Amino acid sequence: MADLVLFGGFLGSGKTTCILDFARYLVQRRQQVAIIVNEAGEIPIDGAVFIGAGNRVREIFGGCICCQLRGDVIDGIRELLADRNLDYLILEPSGMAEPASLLGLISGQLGLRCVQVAVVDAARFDLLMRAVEPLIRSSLRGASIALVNKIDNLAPDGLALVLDRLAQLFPEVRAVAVSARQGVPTRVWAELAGGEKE
Amino acid sequence: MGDMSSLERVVAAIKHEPSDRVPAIAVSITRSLQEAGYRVQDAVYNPVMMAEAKILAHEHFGDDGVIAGTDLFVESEAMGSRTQIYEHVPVVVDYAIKSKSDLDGIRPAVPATDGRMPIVVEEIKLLKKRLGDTVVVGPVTCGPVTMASQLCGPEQLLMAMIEDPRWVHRLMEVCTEMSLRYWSSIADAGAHAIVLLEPMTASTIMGPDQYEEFAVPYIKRIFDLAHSKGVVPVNHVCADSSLIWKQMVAVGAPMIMVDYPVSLAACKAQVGDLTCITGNVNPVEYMLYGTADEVYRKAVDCINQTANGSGFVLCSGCDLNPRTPSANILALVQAAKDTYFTADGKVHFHQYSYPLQTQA
Repeated sequence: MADLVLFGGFLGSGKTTCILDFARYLVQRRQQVAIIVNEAGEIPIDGAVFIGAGNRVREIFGGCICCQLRGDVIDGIRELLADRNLDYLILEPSGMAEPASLLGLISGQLGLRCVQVAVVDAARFDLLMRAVEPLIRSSLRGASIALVNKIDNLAPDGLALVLDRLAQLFPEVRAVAVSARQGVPTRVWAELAGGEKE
Repeated sequence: MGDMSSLERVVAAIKHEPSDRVPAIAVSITRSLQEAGYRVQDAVYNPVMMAEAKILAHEHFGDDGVIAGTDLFVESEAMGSRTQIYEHVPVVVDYAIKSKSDLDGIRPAVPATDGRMPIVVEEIKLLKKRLGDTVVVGPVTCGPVTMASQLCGPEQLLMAMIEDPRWVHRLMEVCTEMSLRYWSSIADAGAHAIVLLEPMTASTIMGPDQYEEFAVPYIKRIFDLAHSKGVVPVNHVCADSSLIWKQMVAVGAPMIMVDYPVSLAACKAQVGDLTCITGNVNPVEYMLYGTADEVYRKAVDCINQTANGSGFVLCSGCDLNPRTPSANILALVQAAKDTYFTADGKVHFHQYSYPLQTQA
């Protein structure tokens, strides 16, 4: 059965860039991938890279954050799982969603192995913690890894401050500093993929 | 106490007075359209179809309220955000406010003529004509904070709350004026209650301080209008609202509707003396994917946690998915129908209509 990797994080944190980089990594290794997005117009998928060869994008929109949408995501995943060749599902929930709650529902209903990734905008971390602290906390709660993104826009001491703060807030979440724009190290994707499937 | 009408039963709950049994409202908004075989895309532009479907659903499920409208995008759509219906709900595909200066050109819309507002108002008139004052009739409307997010995008709104709060307050004034106009038309159409939906103010998105500054003063004005028109305003926040219950009540809400993640017992303990609580069977895990037995057990649990002393309406935590099985909705309502109150205000069950042996 396919694994599901959820990328959570505030709008503009770089989730889409990370997702496309991860999808590219998987596709290059002949893995079949489906991306589920529920933010209208958010994913400008590079069709030449991704679509085809059994890979696809499913848009699931709507609902008021919590209720109808959650049911639609389950039904959408169930439809995608009808393809037995599918290796990975990548889910980008709305930036307003609570990832851990959604993943709990998915693993409970569908029995998938689920991995939660939090994408953190390091360049705006202080500002975001002031503006949307509940959302940032929510995106990190339950995550197994935090991609501390946009480090190319940050001075080294700035990055250290962000990593320290994250370690204080969520010591159980392993933080990895990346620049998705410049490419995430493949060892990170290899770890997330948990070893590609035959 | 026998033979109370649905409206009398709900009014008793709001007043914390005894009644014949716990009232139940299924919150089958777009789900109702399935009863008549209508697609959302067609019905949202046709008040006759909407009213017909809601009445069919009410007759089928036997609940105590009929919810007019279908979604929370009516107001922002009328003010210039472009929406598109995906499957069964609209989403914003083009925000009316792309940069802050666009706010200068945004005006509250006119309920009599703009967008889908006249359709919802007409639906309410049709429902009232058919149901009179026997069943609670009330629409869902968009709260001003959520409306603001639909006009400018949630990211711009949340960031502006820190970077440019004065701009946000200007936007909130426009949204509040929109709500006041729309609620006035709805009240004049004869609605008994109006539900304010504010998913953007969930405690997983905004903190209590933000709710206090950007939601409370505006919602209070809207609820004051409702009271002046003799309409019951209902305050609903999706998902976790546990950090703001007191504030949700303090805006003048005689009824709050809480979603599934929160403890009804905790809500009752904190604000149960101040307001009527409605909730909160999980609309997805139980109502959509559970069995009728599981729904019934959960509903019984909700009743036992909250209904003693009245002040409680059983419902799902939020809007039902259109694919929600009829059997589950019937099980929810049956749990309420199996109850009665004794003179000391305690709730009891005549019988358990579904098995309760196993724990969900």
